[in-house]
Amino acid sequence: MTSQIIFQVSALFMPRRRTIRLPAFWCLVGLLVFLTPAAFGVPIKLRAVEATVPAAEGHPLEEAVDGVLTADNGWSIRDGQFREQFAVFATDRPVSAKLYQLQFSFLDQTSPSYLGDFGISVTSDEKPTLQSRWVPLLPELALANNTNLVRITGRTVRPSSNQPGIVVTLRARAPFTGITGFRLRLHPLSDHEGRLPPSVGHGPDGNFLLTEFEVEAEPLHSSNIALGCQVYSSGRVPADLPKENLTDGLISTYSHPDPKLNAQSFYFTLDLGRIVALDHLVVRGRRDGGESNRLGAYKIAVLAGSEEAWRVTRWNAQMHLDGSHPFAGDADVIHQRDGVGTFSGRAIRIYNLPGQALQPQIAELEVYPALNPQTQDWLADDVNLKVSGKIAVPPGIHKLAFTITSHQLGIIPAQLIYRWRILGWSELWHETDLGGRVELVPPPPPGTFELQIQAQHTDGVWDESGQSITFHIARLWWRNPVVLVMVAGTSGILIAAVWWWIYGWQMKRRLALAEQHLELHRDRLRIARDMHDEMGARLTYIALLADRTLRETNPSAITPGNPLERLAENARSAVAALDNIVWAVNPQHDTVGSLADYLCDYAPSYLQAADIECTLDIHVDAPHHPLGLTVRHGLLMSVKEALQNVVKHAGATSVRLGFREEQGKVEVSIVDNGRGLAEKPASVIDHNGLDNMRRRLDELGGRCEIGPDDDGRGTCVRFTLPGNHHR
Amino acid sequence: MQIKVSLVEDNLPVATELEKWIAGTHGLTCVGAYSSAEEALRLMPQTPSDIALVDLRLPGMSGVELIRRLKISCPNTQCLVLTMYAETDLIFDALKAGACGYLLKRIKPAEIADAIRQVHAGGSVMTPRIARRVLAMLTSQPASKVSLTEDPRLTDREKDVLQCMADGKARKNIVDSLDINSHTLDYVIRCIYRKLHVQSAAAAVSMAVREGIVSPGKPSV
Repeated sequence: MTSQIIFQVSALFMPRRRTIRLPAFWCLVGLLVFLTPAAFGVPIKLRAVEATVPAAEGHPLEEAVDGVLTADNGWSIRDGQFREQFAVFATDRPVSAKLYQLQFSFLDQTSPSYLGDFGISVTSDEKPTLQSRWVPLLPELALANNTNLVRITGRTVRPSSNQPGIVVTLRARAPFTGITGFRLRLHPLSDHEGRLPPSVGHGPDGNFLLTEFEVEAEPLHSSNIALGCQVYSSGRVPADLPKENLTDGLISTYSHPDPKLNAQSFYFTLDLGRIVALDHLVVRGRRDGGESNRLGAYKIAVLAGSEEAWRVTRWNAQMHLDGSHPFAGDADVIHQRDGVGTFSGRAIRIYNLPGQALQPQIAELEVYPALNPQTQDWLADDVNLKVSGKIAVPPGIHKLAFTITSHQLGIIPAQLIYRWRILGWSELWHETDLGGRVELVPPPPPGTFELQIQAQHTDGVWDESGQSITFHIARLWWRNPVVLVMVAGTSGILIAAVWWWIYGWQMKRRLALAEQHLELHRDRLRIARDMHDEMGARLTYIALLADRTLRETNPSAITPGNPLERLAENARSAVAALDNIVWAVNPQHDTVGSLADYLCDYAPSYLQAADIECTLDIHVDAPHHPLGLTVRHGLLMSVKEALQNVVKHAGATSVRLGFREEQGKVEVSIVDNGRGLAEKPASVIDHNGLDNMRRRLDELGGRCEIGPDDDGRGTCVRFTLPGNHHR
Repeated sequence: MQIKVSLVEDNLPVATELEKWIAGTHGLTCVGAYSSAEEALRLMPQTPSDIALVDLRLPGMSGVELIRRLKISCPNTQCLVLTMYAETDLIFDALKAGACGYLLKRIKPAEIADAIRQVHAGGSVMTPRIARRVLAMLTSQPASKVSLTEDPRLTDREKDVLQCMADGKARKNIVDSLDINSHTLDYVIRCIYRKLHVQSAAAAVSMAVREGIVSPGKPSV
């Protein structure tokens, strides 16, 4: 705030005038400045480089910039106070500012120790030495503390002190940007009394003690680095239109060649002090629009070399060749593409092209360097990211932030406005606030993006040296489609493998179980067969023995009623019964076909023994259709019962045995041509037997129908089993 | 003329009784009784017989295999299968191997003697079950496999006979309904068996083993 007041006040006094008066008004201002020493600007760290004279014992040059403000601390010299001396201080980094405030403190209270006549020069050489190129600072303002006085004349400063301890404050405009060093010039001054020869200091022996030399810089607010720079011309300019008007920052002031001069090949040269890569140049005509034709055609060039000899033309362009000229308030904005060559150099020169008098008339020449914006301070969720080549952003973050800045010399990056856009995410430019900080919440989705950044000059033109930075936001590993596919594939394979293994294990178990069952069956069968073979053989033997006995003992007595005969017969039936059992337990015969087979053998032989003819009517679709043991046995018993009834009660001469199987449904029919049920005496009908059959079939899940034959004669017994019997 | 009968049976008591029976039956004479197939193969060629009663369940080599080999080594001997139980599969195998018929051990010895005489005279033994099997096998097999003098396909008469037998008709009825005499019937059955044997010897047997009962479907009148 205070510095602003100072600046505005000092703006009233432009560099035209070199001597500054010290009214009381100024003392008030100076008081304010003194009260708030740090309110000016950025303090600059200085280090001592060298001096033309060795320092006094205990007071090396370094003490002038060591920050210690005690009475006995400071720089003093030994045996050299009667000659002109120089001392060089370097800044720790190049400094760019519009104005500098230099403060010289001589704090020895016992005796005067201040310098008599001194001056300050600056350089922009990389390593400042006594031999560097020094350009003098011309202070615009000089203040002293308390009731001390200081007078400036051109480049010299002469303090005079009424009290011991004097602090001199100077304000000077920078001749160029990127200042790297300050040189102090000590000039011998004669004192009035003449006791001593002219000496640099006001000390008793002509010496001095410089307690502290401090510099503060007021930063530049504009990105126009031509501000305050030296302007030269090839010829004279009118006295009231100094060349410095071209770089004073005021578009109301202007300059042109002296009217009496032959303006042919006249030119202005602006020295930037160092080689700069340029973005654009602005040439402004007179604000009030007067004589605007005086800025017609001109040639503008960028030169390299030194102020002694600008030998190399790096770039040049010719403007307004068509005879046009800018009107009031207008300006020519010149980019590299408007001319030919490399748009970088140390000096800008504007030539009078048409050769007419009073041309060119220029109000302001502005130089805007290439800003080369960069990004820095990349943060992903408050974690610093390494910036080297492509930026890799970790996955799953909520905030991505970075700062856009410019490291162009002479520019305070925080003063600029930047804009950015991320190609691949949103094509629109977004402008940043001052300071250039960008925060993306939420960040872009995973992928690779190109960040484009640009900086805006203070004149509103977007710098063309924009940059593009590639950054890549990693996908959360569990969202990466490749990983997902792999995981899905692997888990799919795993699941399939596990399922297959389980299935196989189940199958194996079932197989083992089935084999166990089969083994059991086989064992049973084998046991049964072995037993029945044994028993069958014995019974057959018994039968044969009985027969032989019968034959041998009494051949004529072979009658059916004979006990031996009956013995043989029973033995044989026993074998037949065993045959039944063996057939029944054999799992091989657990099929529809086997049952049909068996019935086909059994029924005819049984009926033929009773002199009843038997015909067969077999229709089996699927002979291998399974028929469990229980069902098989049940059906067989039922058929046997039915046949028994026929033999005992029907009085028939022929029987038809039908066996049908269709899609698992089994139907067995026994049809006889006998008396039929109705004709049988009620007492003869074996109700128990009929009920038995019905019950048996019910238990099997089937049906038993007993009734007359289709023709009306005889009896038909029908057993039906549905297709889902598996017992 | 005595019919020479040999016996292959491993159950000693039963074999003894049967031997006695045959010896005591008029017209039959027992020329050998062997207790194993190996013994029979070794000794039978030296004492040939007209009829051989072969028990299917023998220790060592099975009765079916014995029948197969006897067909080669003693071609003039007709084999009759003797079994305790009516195991259709095994009997069918034996028939395919060349047996002329089969008998259940539990039938009366008199019937055994009848059967022997019948077979010797050219007759044959068949039951409905067996008949159906034979019918199914011989009518469904492609005839191109065998290329011998005899056409393995069934003639119509053979088919009729088989059909009647499959339907459970008694010999008497078959003779009546087909209008052939008993001897012809025997001959036809013999032919059927021969074709069965030929078929099974030349072709793969596994097909016939899995042969189910295919319904002929003709109800008898």
